[in-house]
Amino acid sequence: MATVGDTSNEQLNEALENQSLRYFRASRGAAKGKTGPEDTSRFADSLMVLQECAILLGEQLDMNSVSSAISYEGDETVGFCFDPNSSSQNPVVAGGIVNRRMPLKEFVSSIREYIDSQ
Amino acid sequence: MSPKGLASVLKALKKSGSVFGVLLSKGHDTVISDVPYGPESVEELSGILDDISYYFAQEKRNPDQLAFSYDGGNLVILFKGDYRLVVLHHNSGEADFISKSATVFLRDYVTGEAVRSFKATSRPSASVVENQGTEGVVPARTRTVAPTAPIAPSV
Repeated sequence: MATVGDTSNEQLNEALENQSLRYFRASRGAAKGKTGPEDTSRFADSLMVLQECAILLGEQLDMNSVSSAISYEGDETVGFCFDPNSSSQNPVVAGGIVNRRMPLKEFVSSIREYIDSQ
Repeated sequence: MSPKGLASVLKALKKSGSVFGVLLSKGHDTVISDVPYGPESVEELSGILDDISYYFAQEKRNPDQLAFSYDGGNLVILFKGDYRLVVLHHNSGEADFISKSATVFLRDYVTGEAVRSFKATSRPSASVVENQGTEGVVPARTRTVAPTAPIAPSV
């Protein structure tokens, strides 16, 4: 988990200090973010694991398409939501990482706001 | 936790909001299965939980909670040691409330199990022998305690 002062990325440091959500977008196998390649890579890794888990569980439980997946580990919350405006052929995912345990409702609504602002 | 206590807490959890299924497993063993799926599906679900733990371990990660939202329902998964608790619910807006209830349930269950295990391995019960001593002699105090069992860390 990244901590304040670990990095020279100003935006990442600011987000860590304020415990605010760092946003990312991913589509066609590539993730983009503004908090540096390491942070984006961490998000991409989490995204892949969460997606894999979501698919396995969804198939097993007959719950159809996944709309969001979130993980909590200690004081970190990581997750993603599918962009409902994207096409099924080229789905776009928006997600985030924050260095606090953010309530699910708050996390999802923040990501949705981010999607709407794009 | 006694079976009666467990049933009571489980009932309270199942009555939390729109919960429609609860599955508690320890390793490969199913401890509680109250889900609208057959035994085979429950076994497969336990296998998937194993896979999920493995995927995260490969990434050197150890989440304590996961939450998934689907068109057809939502689920919260809690991990605590070998225990995994899956709670299925309909209303995604209740996820935080259900997560809290599930966390309390799992904490109580694991703590209860730790106490039960401690009691079981502590028999015969701890005894204290105190020599009363006589006048002019410093009383000798001998304390005999049965070996202690490991207790799971508190939640």
